[in-house]
Amino acid sequence: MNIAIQTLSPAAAWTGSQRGRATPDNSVRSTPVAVTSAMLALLLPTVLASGMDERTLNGANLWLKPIHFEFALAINFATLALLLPMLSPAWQTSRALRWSLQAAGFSALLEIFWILSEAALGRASHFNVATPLEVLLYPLAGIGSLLIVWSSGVFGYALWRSPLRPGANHLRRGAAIGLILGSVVTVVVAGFMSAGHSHLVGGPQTDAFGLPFLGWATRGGDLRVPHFFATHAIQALPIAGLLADRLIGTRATWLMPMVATVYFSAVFGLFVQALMGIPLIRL
Amino acid sequence: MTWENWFSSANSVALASWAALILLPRWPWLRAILRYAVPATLAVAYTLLAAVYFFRIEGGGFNSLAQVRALLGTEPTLLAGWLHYLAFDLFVGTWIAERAGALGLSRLIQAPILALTFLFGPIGYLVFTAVNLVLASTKPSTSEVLS
Repeated sequence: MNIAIQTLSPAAAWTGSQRGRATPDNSVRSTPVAVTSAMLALLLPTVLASGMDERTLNGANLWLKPIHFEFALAINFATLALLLPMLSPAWQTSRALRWSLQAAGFSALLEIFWILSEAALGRASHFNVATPLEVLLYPLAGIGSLLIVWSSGVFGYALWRSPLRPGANHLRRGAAIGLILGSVVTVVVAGFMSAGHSHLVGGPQTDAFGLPFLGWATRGGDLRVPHFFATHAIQALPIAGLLADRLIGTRATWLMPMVATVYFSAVFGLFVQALMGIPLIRL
Repeated sequence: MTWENWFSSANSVALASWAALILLPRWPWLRAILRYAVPATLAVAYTLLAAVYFFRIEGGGFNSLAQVRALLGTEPTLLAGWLHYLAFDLFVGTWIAERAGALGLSRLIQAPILALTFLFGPIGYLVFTAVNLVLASTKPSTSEVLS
């Protein structure tokens, strides 16, 4: 391998450039690591707020939604940070990856600020077009979430093009498929949901009967269920690949495509179930 | 000039400083202005107001919320409290910018964290402290891939 790689000692990372220029190494990795850390830092006061604030929005605790998004975004960017060493050095230092990660990280931070602000005001974030500012912000948040999903797709493509490594073939395949298809299916499901005016289908139009913590409707359909499983394919399939590498001796190349087919068929089933107004768990 | 005028002027200085910190290149002279000149100027104004107005307030003090409320209950003392925020928030902002630059954090990711610090000082500080802690304690991974 004759690609020149600038290695960076921890000491060099500490001193860095006085002009604030990013060192080549850290400029890719620092984005997902920073966004993950930021989300985890916000999680603590948000969880405390959910215990202290008696206000509700459409029947659910105001702070449940920011908690969901902080969790999901932390997990999303942590996954990218963890998978980064699996990319070929050329992909790791590529402009395409660096820029899409930065656009995604920027969008994720602004999106969580928007969701937290609306929660503090006691107002809805998504589907809220009550004031001119909110009419402006909701579609902007949509563009931001597209950028977040886009970066996962680009990352998945980069993984697909990176060489296999002994002992981690299923992981790399599962991660590539999970990131690419998870992104595509998320855009479809979330795009469909945002074209409507609520995540609830049939049943009472309130979040008061949601499952504990997850909040999914128990008396009607809820499009957040297929959205959840489509988006978290980005974690589920790499984890499945990791387990396959560790536990199953086979090198069968069809294993992860098959797992992905089963997984996304289940997501499609959940999508249809939600559209039919049927809850995942009826209580 | 009324106290409201002083308040508006100080806010304009702070807003311009934060905009420069977030948007402009980190020229050494600009960093010096934002880190030292602006907070020091605000500190002079704070010192003046504190010296002249703090110690004449009946029931003012730092021992209870009631005392603090009384202390900040007049326009010049409330302005002093506000200047305290502006000066220290900006100083913290320049620290975040400097540190984030040294960690190799892109300006695009720095911008929302700095904006958060401008609007809600301690929240931005909290977020960046976590970022700083994690980024500084985990090392870059490119070299590992070569094996």
